[in-house]
Amino acid sequence: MAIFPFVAIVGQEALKDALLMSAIEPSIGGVLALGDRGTGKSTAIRALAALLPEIEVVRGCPYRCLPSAPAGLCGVCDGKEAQVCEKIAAPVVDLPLGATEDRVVGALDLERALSKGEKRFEPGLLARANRGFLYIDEVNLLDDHLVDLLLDVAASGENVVEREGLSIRHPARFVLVGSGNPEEGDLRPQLLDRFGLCVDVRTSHDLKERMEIVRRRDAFEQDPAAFIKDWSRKTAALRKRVVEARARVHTVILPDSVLAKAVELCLTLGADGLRGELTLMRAARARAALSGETQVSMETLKAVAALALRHRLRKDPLDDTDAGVRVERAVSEVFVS
Amino acid sequence: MNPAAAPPTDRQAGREAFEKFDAARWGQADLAAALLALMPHRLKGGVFDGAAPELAGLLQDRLVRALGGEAALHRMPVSITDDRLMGGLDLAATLANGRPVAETGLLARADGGVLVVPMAERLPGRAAAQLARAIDTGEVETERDGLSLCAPARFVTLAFADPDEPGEKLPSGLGDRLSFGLSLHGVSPARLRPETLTPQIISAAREKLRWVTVPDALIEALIDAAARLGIRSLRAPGFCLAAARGIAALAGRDTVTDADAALAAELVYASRANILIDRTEPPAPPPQPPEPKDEGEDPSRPHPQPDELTEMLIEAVQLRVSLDIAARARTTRQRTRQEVPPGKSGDMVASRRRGSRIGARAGDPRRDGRLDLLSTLRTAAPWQRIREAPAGGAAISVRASDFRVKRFRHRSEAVVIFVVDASGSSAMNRLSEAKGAIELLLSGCYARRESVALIAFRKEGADLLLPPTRSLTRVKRSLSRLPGGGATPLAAGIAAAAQLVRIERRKRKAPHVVFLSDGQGNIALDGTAGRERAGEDARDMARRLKALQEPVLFFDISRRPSAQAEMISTEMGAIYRPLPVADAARVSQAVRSLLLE
Repeated sequence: MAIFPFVAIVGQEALKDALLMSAIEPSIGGVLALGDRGTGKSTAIRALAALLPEIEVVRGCPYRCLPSAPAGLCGVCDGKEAQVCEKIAAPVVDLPLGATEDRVVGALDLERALSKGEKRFEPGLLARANRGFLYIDEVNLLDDHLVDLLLDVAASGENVVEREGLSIRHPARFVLVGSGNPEEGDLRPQLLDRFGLCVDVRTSHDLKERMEIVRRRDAFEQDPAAFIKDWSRKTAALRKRVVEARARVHTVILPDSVLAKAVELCLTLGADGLRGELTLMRAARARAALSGETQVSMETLKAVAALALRHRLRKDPLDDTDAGVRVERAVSEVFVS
Repeated sequence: MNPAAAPPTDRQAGREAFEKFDAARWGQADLAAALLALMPHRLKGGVFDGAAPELAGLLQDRLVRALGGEAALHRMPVSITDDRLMGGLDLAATLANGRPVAETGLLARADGGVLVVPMAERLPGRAAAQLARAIDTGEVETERDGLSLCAPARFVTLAFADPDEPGEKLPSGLGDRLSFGLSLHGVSPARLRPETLTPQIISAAREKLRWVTVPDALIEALIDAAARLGIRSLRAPGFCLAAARGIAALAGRDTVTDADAALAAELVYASRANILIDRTEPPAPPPQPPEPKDEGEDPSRPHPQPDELTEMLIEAVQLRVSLDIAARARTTRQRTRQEVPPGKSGDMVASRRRGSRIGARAGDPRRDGRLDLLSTLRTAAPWQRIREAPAGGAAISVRASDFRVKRFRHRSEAVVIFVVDASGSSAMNRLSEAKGAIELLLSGCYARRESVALIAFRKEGADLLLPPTRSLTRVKRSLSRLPGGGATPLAAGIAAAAQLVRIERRKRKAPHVVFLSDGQGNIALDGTAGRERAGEDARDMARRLKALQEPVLFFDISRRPSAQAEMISTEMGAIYRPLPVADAARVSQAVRSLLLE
């Protein structure tokens, strides 16, 4: 399947920013994209794969272990054989709807068990997503217990399987990305704030922008290969920016004054818990790194505030105000003083 | 619930007009089939409303022939399970062969063919989402029962819907992904014209297609028209553009004409338009009066009149929509006259405890519910060679850890139907408290477990103001302006509630009804005024509602508890609660404690 290039997506800046920030700083804690149909949520997320820096792995290891720190779980990295390094594209795993739990966490290797009577663990999607992204489309349709499980693993970075003599613990560090349409059922509030960033994806009402979207899509559908090639230089340039930002993000300085504002902002909004502040800081750093800055400015903090906080506000059912607007209001309050 | 259009005044002329119109509508369906055959992967499929079974059959045949006669037809039953749809482990073959044998799911089998979805309006959201994903990606990924498969799944989808009951709509994610939406209500298969778009024409058009160009002004008008018709999704203009190109190719032209675009707009936009039906949402702002200071007009446009073009397209679509509504009203009236009083034969009186199966999970059948034998065996299958042979000569060794229990939709899918008296002077207050109660219910901790609907009755009839939804967002959008005042058609309100109860039950949901009324109707079912008839009708309807045996809660909103309200409440088998002052918090609390918990 040909994938529409990320750089050719018109508009949707917040979504694109959120995804890039997560690619630069995976500890932000994932992205939740909520919004109308046909706004290109899935397109953007699937297109991200082409921008992610390659990862170095032990060749043949199903857990995609880092060569310098193999988990020693599979036949390749248990140390009995010589390991070969290779670079592969960072995985973006698309969780199919209707996936059963055994395929998500991993289970007995069917082939071996049936033909040879051997008890062997076959890693599931969580292993495949290690060091990459795991994408759940229509997250509101996924079974609650599966969503809980995914969030738990995403937070702990480790998948634990215990079943009849199979006892496995393997690394599963991935960025969880979910998308859904709130008109088809709101998400449980407990689930919402476990995603790092939340984007409200809207259809553009600007005629010119809409035209450009439809035109590009049309060109892509007519000849995907040529279209991708036309955009390949821009894709390469953005990818380079991501790779560089990723290398630099941990050196970005967060001045005390900015940190103080971040804390004040969370207090004003009643965005409970440390999670809000942490996400806000990490997101601000990632964003600064992406723009090539060496320290986080107030402007950068303002720019990421809605993404990091909009889904952490206490819900008032009788207050119609959009959460993003509430964040903006608080931002202007806090930054005036 | 009110018939949407008045009958044609002059019967004879009306019938003739409709016959011509029928032929035209069939012609459109034929065109849609030809376009789908021409560009199956681009246009994906279509939704056909109200097609008679023979007509649906004809349409499928024509599509298959247009695709070259080789394409196979596959049907997707509404009740399809995940494993049949996506594929999974073939248990019998796996155990027999001693190696995993995969069973191909319907989506993968349909690759290269035509997938027919009858009764698409009843397709559960989950199955619709799986289908939608296959339509998007052209492949189906299966991660089930220890198998990990990926197979191509590119097919044309023909969804047939008969949404004659209000509140039944195609899952929106599916409709959005299929290019065409046509109404075939009342089109008689007997009057069909012979096929005009032959496979030869279509294959000639295929050659032509690459070279067809679309004038810029027309592209702009197509996109602008979509926005002004209240169509938010950007898939629609994309489909429309492609369809216009296809129409030109079929006609042997190099350039898309205005008429081609209008035809395409009818095929794609008419079913999606939001303007005629619902004016509550303001149409997207018309394009800003062409920013005069902005470096002048684009000189590349030959005759810059996209506004006129847009108007032309919008008019074509609006005409189509009103004709479709008229045709639908005509056929549904005919049908209700002939048959189907309440309690269609297809109704299922399922116990609330059961509901439909939605899957299996690990668990202990003694504690967690009923054993799912098939899933249990499936779980045990891989272990057979590893475990010791079971004692007592059993063929299969099953251990406690293999147990899978069935998961049901039961209580988790409750629908709370609010039926609110919107008549009289205090209507606004009552409605806004009902709205408040709905929002409180939905924003509660277990928000996603319930959906909520709102029926209001006033003047001559009852209206479904809010079809069942779980979305707070949607509640806020659709209840921003509520009508109120006028006479009290209580009987119509109860009848509407009973009808919605039946619809929801057919979707295997558990409906709960909540009335806010004083029990005093003054409009009979047929719309005439008069307390006596009105009271009788209301009691009749109440008994019918009771016969459905679903829980009902009746809030008596009279200033002091009235005998009449209590009587009606008893007739419908409801729990009766006086509530002299409507109050959102108390209503939602009572609903939760009396009905849902």
